[in-house]
Amino acid sequence: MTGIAHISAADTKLAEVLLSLDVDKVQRQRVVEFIDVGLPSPHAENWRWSDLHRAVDKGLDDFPATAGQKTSVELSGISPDKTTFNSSHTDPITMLAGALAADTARRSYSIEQNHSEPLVLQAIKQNQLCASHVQIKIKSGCQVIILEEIADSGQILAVDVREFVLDPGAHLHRILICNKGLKQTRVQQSFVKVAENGHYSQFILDFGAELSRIETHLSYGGENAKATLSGAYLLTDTARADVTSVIHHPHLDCITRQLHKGIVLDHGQAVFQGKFHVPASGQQTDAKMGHHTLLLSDHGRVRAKPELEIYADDVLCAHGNTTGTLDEDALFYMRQRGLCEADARALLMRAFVAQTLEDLPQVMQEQVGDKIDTWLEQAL
Amino acid sequence: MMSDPANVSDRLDPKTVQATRDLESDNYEHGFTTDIETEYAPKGLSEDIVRFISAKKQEPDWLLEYRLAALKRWQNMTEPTWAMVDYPKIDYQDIYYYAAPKAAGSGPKSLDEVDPEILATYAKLGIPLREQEVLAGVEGAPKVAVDAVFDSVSVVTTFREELAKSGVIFCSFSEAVHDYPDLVRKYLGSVVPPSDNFFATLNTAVFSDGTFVYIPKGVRCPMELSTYFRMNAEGSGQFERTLIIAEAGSYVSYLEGCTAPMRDENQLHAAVVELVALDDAEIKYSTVQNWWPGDKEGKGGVYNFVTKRGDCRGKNSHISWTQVETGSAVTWKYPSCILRGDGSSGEFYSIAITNGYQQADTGTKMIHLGKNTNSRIISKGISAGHAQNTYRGQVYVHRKAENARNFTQCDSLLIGNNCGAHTVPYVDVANPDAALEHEATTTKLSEDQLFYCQQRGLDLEEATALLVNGFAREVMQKLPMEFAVEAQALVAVSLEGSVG
Repeated sequence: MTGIAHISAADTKLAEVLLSLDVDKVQRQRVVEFIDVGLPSPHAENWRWSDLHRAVDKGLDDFPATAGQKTSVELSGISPDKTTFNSSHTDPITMLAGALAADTARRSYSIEQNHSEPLVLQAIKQNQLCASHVQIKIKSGCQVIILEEIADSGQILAVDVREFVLDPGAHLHRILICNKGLKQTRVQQSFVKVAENGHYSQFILDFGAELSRIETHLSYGGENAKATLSGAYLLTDTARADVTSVIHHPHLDCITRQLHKGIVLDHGQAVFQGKFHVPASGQQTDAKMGHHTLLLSDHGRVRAKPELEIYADDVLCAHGNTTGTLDEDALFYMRQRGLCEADARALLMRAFVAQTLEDLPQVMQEQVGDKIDTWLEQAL
Repeated sequence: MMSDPANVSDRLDPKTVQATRDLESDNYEHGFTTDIETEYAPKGLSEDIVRFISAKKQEPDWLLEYRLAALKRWQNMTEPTWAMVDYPKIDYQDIYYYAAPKAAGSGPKSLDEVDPEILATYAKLGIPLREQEVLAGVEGAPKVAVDAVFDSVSVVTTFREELAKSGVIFCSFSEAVHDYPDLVRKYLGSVVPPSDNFFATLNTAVFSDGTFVYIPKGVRCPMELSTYFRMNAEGSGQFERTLIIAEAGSYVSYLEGCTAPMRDENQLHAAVVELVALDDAEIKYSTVQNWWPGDKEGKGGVYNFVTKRGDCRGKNSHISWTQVETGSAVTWKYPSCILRGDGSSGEFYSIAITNGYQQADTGTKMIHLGKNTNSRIISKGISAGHAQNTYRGQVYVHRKAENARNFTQCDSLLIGNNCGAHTVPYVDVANPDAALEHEATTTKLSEDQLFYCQQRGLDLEEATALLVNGFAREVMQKLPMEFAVEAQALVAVSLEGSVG
């Protein structure tokens, strides 16, 4: 491991496990390349609040060295492209996904027509360590909804990389649901490129994990493009959720709307890191970022860093960040109307996250709403 | 260098553009040099230099040991790189760590003994060192006691006798070490420990002079106190140390000003300021930072790497920082409040203006530890020319800090298209009763105020402009009277057309 200054216990354990995997020559090469780089440093600015090394180290303690089936990827029966899989990203997480994923879990797709029903993206994971890397290209003018749900089926470490490329005028609505997995460390990294007049909408619902990190790196590739990023995290027990995003605005007239809300109960821990980067070429950018949390436990913790980096003088970038608790007056009022305390609290919490669902496509409203209701029932 | 006026966005208030332009280095009035015989320590930093400084000041052994321990620690530390500033590597062995006007000897004397050149320097800067000059001014003008620090030594401290009548101690740090060793020993490093950070540790090893203030129990300091820092000697750094202690129920307002000559080389200024407020005490600390910013090509200028921290140690204590930052080539400065006492509160009001090739990474930390603590952060950043201006702030609420409240608002404005404005807030909350708000928009103004203005016949846009501009002035108004003149140009500043 020549590339890293400090080699942690997690780096060493992970290297041992990766080298013990029965993989082909090409994947072996990716394993060697990753080991050379190692996990992102815990001192790196964007990892200081989520200790990946600790989570990986803890997870690998229970790792039995048995090989299972390879992870494979499916997208609602659509055939993957036949071209050789190729990615330009060299982030350590992307490299880790490359080391862990066999060819069956590295796929590219091209969407060339509208789909009214949501397409379901599935990484079928049968190992305790698994990864996938999926590229989806949406052709000019096409509209599509892609749904992905991450379940807890015994993975210790799940690393998923997604690349979405939207051609001019394309519209992708992406919904990602991450179920609770208290023994799971998962990192989802998405790279999104939106061409002129394109529109990318993303909704993330995260119930937390040992460590659940969802990263979005979005860059506009042309003028008049738009992105709506919303989501909610709902945390109980020892669940942790980390929402990290970097939005690049190098073109004229692009609009970003970002809104994340969260509720933290028990020993839950939440991290929000958002960044708008506007170079001098990004004039008339209109970008708004909001992150709001209800912290409802003495043992919970919320950390947020809504960041702006602006080099263009005619833009409007705003960020808001609040942390608070339930409004006592509202609770009192509802109790006067005959609601029991638990119901009143649930209603306020439901109303709090409801705003993040406004942008969801109609077909998804019910499914996502039910998930939230079930969580509220269990949590209270 | 300001970009061509034609390139300035028409959304901006012309008065703001002009006010910012007035602060360009071409208009720097304090860049003259005082030709005076100066005594230097040999260049470079070593145990011998630390011993030299300590011996010069005839310090007790404990303080020498304290410095040497810090030096040892510093030698194993690395310079922080996380700030959004970029400057060539500093050669710490190429700096004079001690420079003093020869005639100054070991410390301040009576005014008659001070080198007339130095008096002339302060007169030129508009700083009254003769008590009668202050009194001869406008009738009813408030008195201000001044500690004048010239390079590594304090040359004059005025109004000491009058202050002593109220029990207020106002003297140079070097004198305090001799005259009030118990107080110094008790409080030095209790807010900014020697291990705090690279620049604070460096300061602990080599600090020269600064101001010591002690306000006894229940005393309201009868006049404003101030320190005027002047860097003059070539190739030297300034490493002052200020310690202000406000005993229970006391009040003090303290002002600080700083200037330096125009030089082609970069000069290092690494100060440490510690404030301690006990039960019900209030400290108001104001700064107009106007170090030489470097010329319009970005050559020269002061590296201002300063650690300022206040500890609201007592119940219901209050510390307020107000800063106007217009100088320095590179600024790295985060005046902070540790809200330890129950019911304590902290405030931070800041206007940072960068021109030319200036870089500023500045903000505050509000550390909520006690119950019912309150903090407020108002920060305005204006960036022009090729400058980079970053607000970096932290609000932390400890698990036991019940009922903490914070309000943060930071706005930034870009004049021209070659500069940058950045906002990096860190919010860390571990208590469910905390109510924290952070916003950086100009549109999120009080609905009530907007409604009221509209009722008076203003349209929404006019009402918004009025409230936003009022806000910038509100920060200015937090400055004590004495800085009103220096800050006058800045009053024209508005945050209309801010980017985020």
